Amino acid sequence: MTNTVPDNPVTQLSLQVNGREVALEVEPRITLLEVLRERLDLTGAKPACGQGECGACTVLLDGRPVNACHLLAVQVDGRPVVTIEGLRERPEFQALKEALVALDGGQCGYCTPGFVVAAYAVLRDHPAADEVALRWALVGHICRCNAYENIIAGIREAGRRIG
Amino acid sequence: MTDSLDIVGQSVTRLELEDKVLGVTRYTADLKRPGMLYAKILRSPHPHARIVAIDTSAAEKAPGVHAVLTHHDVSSFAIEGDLLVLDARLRFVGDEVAAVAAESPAAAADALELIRVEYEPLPPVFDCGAALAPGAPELHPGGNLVDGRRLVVERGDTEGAFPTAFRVFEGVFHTAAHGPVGMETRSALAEWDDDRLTVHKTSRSLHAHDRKILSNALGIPLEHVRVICTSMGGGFGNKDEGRLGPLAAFLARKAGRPVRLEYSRMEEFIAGRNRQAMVSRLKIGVAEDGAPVAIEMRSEMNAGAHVASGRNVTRRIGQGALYLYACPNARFEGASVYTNHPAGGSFRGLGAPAGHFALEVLMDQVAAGMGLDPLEYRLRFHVGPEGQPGRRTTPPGEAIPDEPVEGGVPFSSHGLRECLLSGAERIGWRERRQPNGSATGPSRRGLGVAMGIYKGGVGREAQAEIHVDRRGRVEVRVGVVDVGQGSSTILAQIAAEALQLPLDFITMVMADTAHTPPGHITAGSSTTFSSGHAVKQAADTVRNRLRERAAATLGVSDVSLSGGVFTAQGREGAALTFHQLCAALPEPVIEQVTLTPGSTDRVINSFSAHFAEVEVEMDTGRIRILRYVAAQDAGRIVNPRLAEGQVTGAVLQFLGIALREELLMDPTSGVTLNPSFLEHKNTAIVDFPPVEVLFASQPEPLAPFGAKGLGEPPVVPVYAAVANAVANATGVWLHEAPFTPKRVLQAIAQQGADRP
Amino acid sequence: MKPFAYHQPGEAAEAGRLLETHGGQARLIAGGSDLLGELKDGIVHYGQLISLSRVKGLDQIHQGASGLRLGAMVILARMEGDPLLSGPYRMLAEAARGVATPEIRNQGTLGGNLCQRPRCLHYRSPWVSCLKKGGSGCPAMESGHQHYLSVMGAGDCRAVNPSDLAPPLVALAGVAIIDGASGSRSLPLTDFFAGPDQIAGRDNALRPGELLVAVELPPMPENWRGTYLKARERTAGDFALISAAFGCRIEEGRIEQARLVLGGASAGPMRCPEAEALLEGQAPSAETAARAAEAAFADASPLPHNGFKLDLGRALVSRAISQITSSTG
Repeated sequence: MTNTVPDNPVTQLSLQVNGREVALEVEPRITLLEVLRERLDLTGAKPACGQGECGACTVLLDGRPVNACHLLAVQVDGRPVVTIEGLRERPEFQALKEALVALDGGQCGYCTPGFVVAAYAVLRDHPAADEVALRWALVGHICRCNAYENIIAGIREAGRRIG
Repeated sequence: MTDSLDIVGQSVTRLELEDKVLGVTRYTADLKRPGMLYAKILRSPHPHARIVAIDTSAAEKAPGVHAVLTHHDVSSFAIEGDLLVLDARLRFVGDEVAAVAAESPAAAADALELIRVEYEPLPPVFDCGAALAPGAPELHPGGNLVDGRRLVVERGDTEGAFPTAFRVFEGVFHTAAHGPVGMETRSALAEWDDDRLTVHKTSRSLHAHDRKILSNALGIPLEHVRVICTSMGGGFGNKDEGRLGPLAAFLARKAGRPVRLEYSRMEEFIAGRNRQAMVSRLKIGVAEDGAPVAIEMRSEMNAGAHVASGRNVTRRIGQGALYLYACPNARFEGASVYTNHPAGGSFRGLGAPAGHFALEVLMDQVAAGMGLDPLEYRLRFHVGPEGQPGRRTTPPGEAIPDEPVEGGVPFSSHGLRECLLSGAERIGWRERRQPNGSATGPSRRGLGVAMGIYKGGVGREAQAEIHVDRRGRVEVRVGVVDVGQGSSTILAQIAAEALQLPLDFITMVMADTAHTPPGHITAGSSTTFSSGHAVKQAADTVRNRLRERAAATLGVSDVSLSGGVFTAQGREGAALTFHQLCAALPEPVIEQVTLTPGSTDRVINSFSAHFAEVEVEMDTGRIRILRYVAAQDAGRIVNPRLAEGQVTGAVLQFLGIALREELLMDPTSGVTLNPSFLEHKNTAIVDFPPVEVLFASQPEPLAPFGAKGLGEPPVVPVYAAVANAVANATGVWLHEAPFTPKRVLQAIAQQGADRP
Repeated sequence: MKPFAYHQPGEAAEAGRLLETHGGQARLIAGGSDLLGELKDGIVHYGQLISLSRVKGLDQIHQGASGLRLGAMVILARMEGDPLLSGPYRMLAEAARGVATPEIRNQGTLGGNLCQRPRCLHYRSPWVSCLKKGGSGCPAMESGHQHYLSVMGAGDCRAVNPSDLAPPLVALAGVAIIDGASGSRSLPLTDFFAGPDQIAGRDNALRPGELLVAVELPPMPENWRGTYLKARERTAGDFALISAAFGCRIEEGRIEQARLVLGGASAGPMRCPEAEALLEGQAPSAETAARAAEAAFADASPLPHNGFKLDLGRALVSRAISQITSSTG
């Protein structure tokens, strides 16, 4: 197909990232993940599949976990985005961090921030979620070290501490 | 060695895990430099072609572009024997044609579209048989059989022994190509400071490979090259081979700016290094009592376009057949074959899982044919502590190979029997196992067992350096990379134990050529054993020197050391803290050790015995794993929680590989049809039950604190444990992996298991 | 991704006009989870993306006198838990839960799910040309990898609509509500999807300048129940190899108003009138379910390498029927 686009169009965006207002000029084809990592140096969300199939890039959009690699930055214009960097300081995050570290809920660590962001959202909404529900809530996250058992153990422990 | 250990054997917290949880850890692709450019690669649309002409002028003029690289711009240095930095000859769909560095990833991608290439397509060849046929298109000079010959290793005389066998069993076994799939894709960031090069790179081997390759390819002295891997997002024996480092370095030199090159997932699948497809023809002759008298395996491995470490992959297909069962006559013949598929390489377990799949399934068929229970069969005929029958062939005084062939050499430690017994008890084998194929109904359950033998971790030259300075900082410097498995934690535990210091006194310095002594590749499950040996020996020396100094300071003949305090022996109340001692050091205490651990009269191997319980849906061919017990002999366990995590992860990873993972190749175009996480179906969090992990109890006498290798051994028996459980449930033997519903239904139809 | 311009119209008619103006260069984007995949891999390129995110009123689920109306921009996560999707409509929530991953369901929409492109591996590969991408031949026919292709019907392109929502919506007699530059119209969903004789380049009945804005479901009897089962390679997060939506009500121990729709079997979701007729008025039993399953695939014409889908499909149909008739009675 021939390319009939006017020269690379650029759009003005106003993102709300971790509670901060960020004005940006981007091409519509640029993903949210690229903006976070390359423009804002928020590298906690990881590129891994590039297609919304593994969850390593998970962030919260309007409070819900989404794949930052599989959204255009223009799609989130004006909507609140929270990354792992924005969760770190929240008091309700500490139990999750401590339990995952204590129970070895991660090996190489590359998928870990994505898991953590999604787990945070699940525990926030369903602090008493049982193991089966937690697993199905995290089914969009791939860990190639297959540290799944310890990840689940850590999240369940955090749920118990929060609950 | 003392039996009262303080730190080795404890489940201490994984180092740096908190940073990983917080997303603070920086992996290669997280790094940025001022003025850094982004690189993208133009890839071949043809499975086999020659570049006749390439015109990069339009790309060079495109906005934001600072460098375009083709085969005309690089040295003729071969990264590996059959791999140039860039090549006018293209050997698979996705092969590297050219590279661009630009100010944004999008600008680099746009510029690729402007490169004009005239290709001369060449006839491709995709499977081993066709590649070895007379007149087949040759991928490399010398033909498609790698090294021009098949590898042959043997013990005794199989040819003479088969005719004497009471019965002979045969089978052909296939395993598919699949991706290694570390979550982090291959990445490199190259920057030049005058004629000095620094490369951050995903790597398992920055000393032994990357640094040398970069020095040679770029034509600069080794001392001018620094390679760093800040943190690795999964290794699994993969992520080294290929052109990544040199391409980033050449681009950065041409552009005069730092360049970061990061593979997409699709690129990782097609241009990373995959686990190769393999086929093994296995023949086992047994005596009247069932004892193996001759085992012969002939295997072919589809190496793809470049062989990389494929020779070792092929060799390891044969190790189980050669050594897992006591047998006077054993022979392995392996061929590595070039084809126009994407290049294979090194991945966890190399050829061993495929080889054990064939061996352990056919052994179950032997047991069934001889009317023996598969567990009893294994308990009777597995190789014993005394090793194989026959004569030693390694000259006296020379190290015994860790992939042994010869007879007459005993094992140094041997926990296989213990693994079989403890695993069988855990799964309830004797009470619960029914004869093969006796289950009925639409869903049928069965139990399966499989064993594994693997390298124990010896044989790599390892170095370690320990620095203790006046501030009391204890640096343990090793050049190996923690690829995510936790080796930094394990080596720190070994150092702390040997130094008799608290773990938090230890600072690990790894994976930076500027600050570590040369280190071996993270491969062959060798870090704990080999680097652990070097660390322990250096630590022993440092501890003794510090104790001598403390004794002298306290004016006694000897001191004890505990909790960071030296206490005088025989003089009540006299003590000195570690930090007080260090503050008084005239100069830092430095100890460097280089060694190649091993044994001249013992085989050092790790063992596995795995038990699976499955349920097979007869109408859909779906296999459900109900239970899985993995019993491992890895000597002493340095960190039980990490070790359990590693075994569990290994098994879950290979259950996905056994049941689903496969690279689907288009037979006419050679295109990889499923280069994505969606279509290459690796294990997810809801797929399998928790793995029950057991460890044998015997420490390895020749290992640092008794610990043998554990990274790969637990992947070895998985295919076979599942297939044997399926056979027990259904009476159907699976000889082709992965065991997808399609293949299971086909096997049920072909082998005539009655339908529900 | 190649560059594109991004439009965010506020009205469906405006979106329709933009589609008309830019013709083949324009494509609608809802959540984008399918489209972005195609754009990233270079399977397709559009110079103009027209976002529906600001078109008002498309993200509502509401119950009216004429039935249930589901807006095209309702996200799948909402469908999983919406209280209106209960009783006869519960099968929709079930089907939504089986789509992809929670993250994707927070992004993907009903309209996007229905209008997504096939998962045929050859179609999805940037390296091979195929009929659906405007090429001259179908490489999938020569390949052993045909698990995403149809087992029914004929035609040169055997790609299937991979939507998990389409089969249950067809079972519920859903109607596509279409809007656009030249006004609105409605169409039964059975006619919305391309039939077995589809043109390779076309996925549905939308005309240039038209967009799907909602699906309407007529009222169903209170005691009608349905389920949606899909066979996939992984436990979760996968597209269906083949799927079955089945529903009915049980009146005095007899099956009434049986609806059976297959997904992944034909180019679009396919109703099975013979199987439905065979069930009608029958007392539920394993034998009846098995007979219906046989009937559903009686006209199958599998490709050389996807015959196993018939085994999977028959098993799903039997199970779906047994599940519903045993829990509804």
